[in-house]
Amino acid sequence: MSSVDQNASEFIAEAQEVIETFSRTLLELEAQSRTGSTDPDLLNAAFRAIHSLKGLAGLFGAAAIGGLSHTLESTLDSLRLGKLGLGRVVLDVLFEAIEMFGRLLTPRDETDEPEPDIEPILARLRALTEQEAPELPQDNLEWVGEAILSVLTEYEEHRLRENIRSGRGLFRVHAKFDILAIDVGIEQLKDKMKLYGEVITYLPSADGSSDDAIELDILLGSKSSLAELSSALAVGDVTVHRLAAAEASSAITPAPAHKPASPAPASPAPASPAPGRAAAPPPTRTAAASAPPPRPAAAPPQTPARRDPEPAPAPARAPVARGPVTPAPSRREPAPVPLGDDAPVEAASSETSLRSLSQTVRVDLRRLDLLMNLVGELGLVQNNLAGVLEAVRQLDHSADVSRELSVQIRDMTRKLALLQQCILDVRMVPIGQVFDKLARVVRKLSRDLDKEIRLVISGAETVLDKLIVEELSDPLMHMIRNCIDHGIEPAGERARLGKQPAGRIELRAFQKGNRVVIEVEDDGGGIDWLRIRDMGVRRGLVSAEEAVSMTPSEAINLIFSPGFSIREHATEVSGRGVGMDIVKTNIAKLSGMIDVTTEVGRGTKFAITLPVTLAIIQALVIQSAGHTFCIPLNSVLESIMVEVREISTIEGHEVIILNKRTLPLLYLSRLFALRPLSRTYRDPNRVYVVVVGLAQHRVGLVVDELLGQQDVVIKPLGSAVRNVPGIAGATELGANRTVLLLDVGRLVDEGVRQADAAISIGGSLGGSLGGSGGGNLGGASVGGNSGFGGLSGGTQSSHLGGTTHVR
Amino acid sequence: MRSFVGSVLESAGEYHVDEVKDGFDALRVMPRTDYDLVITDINMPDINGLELIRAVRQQPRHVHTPLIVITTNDRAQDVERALKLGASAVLTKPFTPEALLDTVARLCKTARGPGGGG
Amino acid sequence: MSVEREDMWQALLRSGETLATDEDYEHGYKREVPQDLQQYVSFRVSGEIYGLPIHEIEEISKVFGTTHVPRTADFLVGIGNVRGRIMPVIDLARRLRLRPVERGRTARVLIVNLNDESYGLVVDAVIDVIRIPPEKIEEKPGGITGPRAEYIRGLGRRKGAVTVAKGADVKDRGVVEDIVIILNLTTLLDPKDFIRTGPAVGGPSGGGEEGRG
Repeated sequence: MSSVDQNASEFIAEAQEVIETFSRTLLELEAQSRTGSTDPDLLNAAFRAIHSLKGLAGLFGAAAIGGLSHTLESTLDSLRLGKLGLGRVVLDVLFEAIEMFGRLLTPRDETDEPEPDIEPILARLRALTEQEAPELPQDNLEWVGEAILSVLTEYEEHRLRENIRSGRGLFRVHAKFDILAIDVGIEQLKDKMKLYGEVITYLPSADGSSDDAIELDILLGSKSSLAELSSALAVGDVTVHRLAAAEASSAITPAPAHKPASPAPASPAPASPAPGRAAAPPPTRTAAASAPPPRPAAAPPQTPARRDPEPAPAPARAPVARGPVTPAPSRREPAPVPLGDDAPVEAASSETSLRSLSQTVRVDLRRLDLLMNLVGELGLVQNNLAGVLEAVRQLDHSADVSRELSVQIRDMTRKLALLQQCILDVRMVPIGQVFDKLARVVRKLSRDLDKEIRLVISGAETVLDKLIVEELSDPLMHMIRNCIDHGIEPAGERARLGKQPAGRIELRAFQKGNRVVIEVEDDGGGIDWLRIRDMGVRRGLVSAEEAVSMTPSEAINLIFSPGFSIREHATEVSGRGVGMDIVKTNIAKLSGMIDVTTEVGRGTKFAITLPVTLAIIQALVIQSAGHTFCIPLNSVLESIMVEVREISTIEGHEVIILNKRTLPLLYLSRLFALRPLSRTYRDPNRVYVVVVGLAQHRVGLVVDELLGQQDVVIKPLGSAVRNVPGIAGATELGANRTVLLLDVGRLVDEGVRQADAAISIGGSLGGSLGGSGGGNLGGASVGGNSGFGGLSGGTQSSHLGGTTHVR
Repeated sequence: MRSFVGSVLESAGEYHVDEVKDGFDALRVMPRTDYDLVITDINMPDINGLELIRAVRQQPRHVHTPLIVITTNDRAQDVERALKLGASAVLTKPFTPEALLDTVARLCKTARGPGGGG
Repeated sequence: MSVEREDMWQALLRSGETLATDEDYEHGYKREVPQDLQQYVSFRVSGEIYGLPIHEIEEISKVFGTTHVPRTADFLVGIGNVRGRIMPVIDLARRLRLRPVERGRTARVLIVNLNDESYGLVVDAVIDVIRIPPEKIEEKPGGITGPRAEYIRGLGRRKGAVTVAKGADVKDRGVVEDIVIILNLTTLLDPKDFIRTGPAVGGPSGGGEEGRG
């Protein structure tokens, strides 16, 4: 049944999310553990992630995942309860568990591997907890009061003890929040409290006495004094009290945890609950609850400074009073409280309608494609409406109607554009998703290969189309592996070379124009092009004769050839001869390019340039020989009008001097062998030059007309026309007119290649990155086409569905 | 996890399920609504399940409402406290949908009988 | 799936009178859909009759405007836009290296689907939908050799349908038997044939394709 599949895939998706969260938390914890202190909140978050994974697994009957998360949960529990220290060994086992989850979640039919055996990892996890630190003698906590103790989870109790042990004072922060604004209020208070110490727990008092407010006691461990805390926190309906061992013990009112004695029976039942209850409960009850009983009560018998309309006698209050009390009466004013969000938890019950509070929905990308197509069709409807408008204008006495119609049509146009943008935005996800995975790979490999690696990540927030992000993960993985395996030298060698013992890998993402660049840079040994060249000869990839005339960049390109392996012997990690060629193919599939810069002894940098999405981009619309084209505005540096006599010829190539630089000119009509479509008047003495550039290379595109700038939606060309060099995609321009989008990178390449044909790229590879003919490894076959499917064309997207396999 | 308890119950077809995202939300909704059953996890940020039980039990409306607590198995102390505070049943993770449905059905039946709950 | 099927029928019905006779509406369109592997849409290109399995055709459209794509083969008329979908539009006569004839008002674009991508094929006229039992298809195109052979999947015979003859006259209904050349989309739309390698790239220039400019 498909519902089973759906359940399974839902489970996998959900489980993956949890594991990713867990992994991120673990990486953070690892970073902290190096500095010697770990945030209990993080540990607790890690625990909770696995806790919920276990629940998930149970519901879906995923036995292996359930088993592993169960044992892992125990380990994490020991960690958060301080029974186990978070050391390197422990972290290693935890990360191993993440790997295991990954393998367990891979559907069996996608892999040849047998179901992995979780016993070894379970044994290692158990071994950890066996060496738990001996239990410390337990402090007597009675003074905190049964009312508090009775509702602490074991973990919270542990934190309470930890706080006391570390010499922090215990405080009870009492707060009252408007029921509608509690989220924000809590969040703000929480942030403030965190500056002063650790929040151990929240003790709510929701006895229903007030429909529009919730009162809370928050247990806070802090080194600050009561005065400091009061001045920092006690604003509005917030008061701070100190729970001191001596004072507290006398102040505790035993909490009638369940079975409230007197008032409760009074109200169960009334058929018309709300009004019934408002009227029914006697004043005593209202008093006791709405004016939080504990606050002023230094000792139960005394009730100073109450605001209650009817001071309730102590006995009446007792049943509802939630106990923990200390002296220190303080002010309270009404305070408006804002809103916020909170970690998801659980609490369900029956009755009324289903109400999901989850903020996210998983959507099949194909549905978004469908939406996008519909928007496209609406665009056509809009065009038709414009036609109708024209017709209406021709009618007599139609001025008012046509004016109104045109206003409405314009409004619709704007909103359609917005709608389109929104749909595009939905597809965008941060590249950080992949970086997190890579961080784990780095960690694992650095252990496996015994090379210390420092991974520096930047730009994790850079967003890309979901499809691209998913497809990137494998290529980047290969590249990282190569970095660590081949790039970074062993520590001994690094020391000899005067390098830092720890290898450094930088993972960067940033937006550059309408493209996103992802760089993987290491400070390892670099690539020796002569070695690569010789290897290429030995592997039979090039002939000895060819090799002699090879430029360094051509030689380096060999690493992208199928069947090339740098190592003489394949290693476990990489170097099986598949790798960079696959990387290149995958990047090419995404319409990306990959460049490599390397310097022997200094390191290697791979730069992947990708389209952000088939997004809306700003384009310059131009005309050449009557054909209209769009040029991505991001690659346009300027547009100028040039007198023909300013054009000079160098070695057969036309150039102009612009800002003291020689700018080679490319005639679009010649480049594309365009047959003139229409005779347009052109001033024979002048031409328009659109200066376009990528990296340090720039050329001037000579065109006939500049028609203006416009936002355009890039549509992919099908596989038949996808690889036309110099064409990146198509777009609709106005009334159903399809216009081609130029691939500027490719054209610049061609221009530069023509101009520099004779000039070899030279010895230093360091500078030849970017759009140059030599450095542009993937360029020739890849060109910046919007080859991947995505947004438009239902056919296109289903095509994608077929080829996009994300693991 | 949250939605799974919810979805298991929903799919049984006999229950209307309100899901709330945390203890605060629960406290916001519960005083105004007659629920036949409450399910909560013990491990929740901020307001934990135990605190929630106590708060719920303080609400006149919910003094006797059956209350299921979900916990992990080796938390004897938590279980003990939960029962002391008035939980009607404890479900230990991992549990099967059937176990959940059985417990819910049993408690709902008891609750409808005279003087049920507790 | 069934939804798509419906859409296609709607499209075929929409494309009107050139498609089928009343009789066909009666019987043809109501034939059980699962049998459609035996159904072919027949059409005319430069005086010859060609056919494509009906399930490969998404829609039959009036001729629409296209945009020329530089550096592509001459048979690519350009790219067209059908309700937001961009697709290459191919001049079948050129693709099949037939002598092009003047196109009149009967010209149509067959929108076909190959590997989930759409293509437009310009034909001189759509004739009708015919049934050819699989066993009646001659697998080996005997007489046809040369460059066209690779685009041909087989030959079928067609009879009993209206033949639109040149001029205004309608020839003998149900008597004529024509040869229908069943095309092979996979070879016909091979992506490698579309790109005319430019001067900057170099390399072999495809067969008899003439440059455009």
